[in-house]
Amino acid sequence: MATEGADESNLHTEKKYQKDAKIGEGTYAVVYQGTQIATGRKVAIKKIKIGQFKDGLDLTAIREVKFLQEFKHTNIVELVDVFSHKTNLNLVLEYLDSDLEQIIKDKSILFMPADIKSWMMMMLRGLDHCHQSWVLHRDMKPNNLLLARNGQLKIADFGLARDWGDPGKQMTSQVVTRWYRAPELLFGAKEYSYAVDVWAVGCIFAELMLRTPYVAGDSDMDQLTKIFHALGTPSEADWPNMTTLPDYVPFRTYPKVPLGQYFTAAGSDALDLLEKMLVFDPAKRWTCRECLNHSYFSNAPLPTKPEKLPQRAPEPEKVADTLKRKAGSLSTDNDEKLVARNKIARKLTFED
Amino acid sequence: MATTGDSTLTGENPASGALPLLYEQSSQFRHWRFSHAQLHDIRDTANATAVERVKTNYDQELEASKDSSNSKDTLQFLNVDEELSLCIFYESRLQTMCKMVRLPDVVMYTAVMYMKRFFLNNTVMDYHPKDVLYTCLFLATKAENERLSIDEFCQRLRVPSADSVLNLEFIVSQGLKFEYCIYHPYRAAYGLYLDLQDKSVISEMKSLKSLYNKAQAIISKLVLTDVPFIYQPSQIALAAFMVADSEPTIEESINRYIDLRFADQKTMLITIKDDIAGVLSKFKLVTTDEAKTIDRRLRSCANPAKNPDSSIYKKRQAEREKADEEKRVKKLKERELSRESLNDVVVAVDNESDD
Repeated sequence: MATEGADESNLHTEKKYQKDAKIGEGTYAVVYQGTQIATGRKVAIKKIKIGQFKDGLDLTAIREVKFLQEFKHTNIVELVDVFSHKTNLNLVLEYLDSDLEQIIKDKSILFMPADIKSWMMMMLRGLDHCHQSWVLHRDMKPNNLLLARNGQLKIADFGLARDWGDPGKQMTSQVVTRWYRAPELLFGAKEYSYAVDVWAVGCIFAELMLRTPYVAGDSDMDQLTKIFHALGTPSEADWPNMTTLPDYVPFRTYPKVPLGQYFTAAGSDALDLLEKMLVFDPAKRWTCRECLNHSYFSNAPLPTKPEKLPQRAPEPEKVADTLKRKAGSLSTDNDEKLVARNKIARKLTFED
Repeated sequence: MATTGDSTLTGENPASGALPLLYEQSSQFRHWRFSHAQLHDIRDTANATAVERVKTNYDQELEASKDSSNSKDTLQFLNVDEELSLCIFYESRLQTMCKMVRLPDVVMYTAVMYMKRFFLNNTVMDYHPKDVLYTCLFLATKAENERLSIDEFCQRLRVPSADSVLNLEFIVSQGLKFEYCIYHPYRAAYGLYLDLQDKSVISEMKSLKSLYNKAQAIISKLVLTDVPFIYQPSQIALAAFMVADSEPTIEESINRYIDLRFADQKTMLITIKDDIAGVLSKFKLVTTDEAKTIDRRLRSCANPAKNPDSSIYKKRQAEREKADEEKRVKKLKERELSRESLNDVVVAVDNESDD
């Protein structure tokens, strides 16, 4: 018997899976298609190369594993197993065919309002589960929302997630990919809440309706300008503590334009919900729970059944895109900033 | 949500009220919750299998080293209580270290829990707690957002070798079943502290504050016992408040608070409090001398297969390397073969196009 104690169960886990074709490779991780031998279930095995990290097990990997182990929810990607092999960490994840970004970009697919409603509902349910557990995702965006063959939407990529809720605890504002980043983060807020994720979901909602990113700034300043241009520059009354934020700078006053002028095809209930998600004052921005109770979800047309949602033909290589990147040599919320920034930069290059 | 909509969507509508209890979904509740008796059995079995394994390895070691001066019959293995005492000693050392370098209580608590989880299924005869301790603490700083670089960590805690900390990260993680999330009683205790103010059960702020401090100290002591494996964080926190001060007026106030807030669960809560009070009264810190005695014994019965200087370790290492090399060669051959067959196909296609 060559292995003993702790590594024994690990070896046992490893033997439960067979690694098949490599479906993607990034700087930090390789993704394989795999099979759970006993059941024949198809899985994705994300192999994180740990060897190169000076500080040992990577923080993004620990965060991802830590949170995914706690979540069992239809709308959150399932972590089936974890094992290590030599100096690699292997995450066995459920196998998912595509992501929301691909669907949005594939102009051959037509969205019905009921389809958008269905995706929004699943997204908010998954995110609500995170928030109920006091976890912020901090990287909500279409290509982190994976889609299963049965149409279920699953929130993935918890590498930037963290627990939240201790008053006074400082966090880095360098989180969330820029186009989905809430204004309080762009102004450098170090204490923030569920509201940063809800803002991102609002941006995704708008993107689903427009089929193009809603506010796509090319720098943090430009991002704020574009947000204010789209929604009107907030006044002190709209957002009482705005001017006290660390990186606050005054902006030109853009007038408030009714959303209906831009979203011409959207129903009034959809626009009302969108407005509630894109409230400037984080304290007044709606929670996931409030959003889910909005009449938009109970009004006709009712959300499309997941299995009836538009799909694209499966392309295994694409799945890898959403899984393979990530795992920088992190950080704490002090030096986490740097890596988060790297990560965001890296992700943005994917999106251009 | 109505009729034509999808049932899997409506089935778990979060707006519909009855929510599953979040704590019961946690890995801590699902996988790290035991009774006193279960803990006893797990440790008994773990100790017995460890002893058997180490014995076998000693035989092999003697054979491999051709040394007949020592025999396995003279070996004195550690029993369950000795293993546990040694762990408690190093867990309390860890607590002192955290205080010295001013790491928050949640990091300390998580690190101690990592040690406890690890040694529940592993033996000190395989892994010495003095090494495991640093890895647990380093992992806890990562999991609790108090991350230090390995250099900073080693410098602040005066750890001689960064490698020894990092080398065990996988082993420890495996022992935790890769479940890093620890739920602490400190947060529940803070909630109770606020709620006690809110309900003005104890009117004098000074005595409430001192009660809260005592409760926190009790929680830090309880993490050295089996209590965190048995009760939920909120139950531990409430029990800590109940036993923190024997001053009659305070005791009476807490009782009143429980009647006010948890009347329907009072019997259960009293049972838990009594059990925890019993554990506390029996609990004794392990002295350095006691630990030294056990440690001396451990040196003679440590698993030779884990000692890089032993013959058996070297032998197995060589075997592992050989197996790896064989695997590598095999892979290489396979790749060549597939390239050859690919060439065949290409050649065949070329021939076809020639026709």
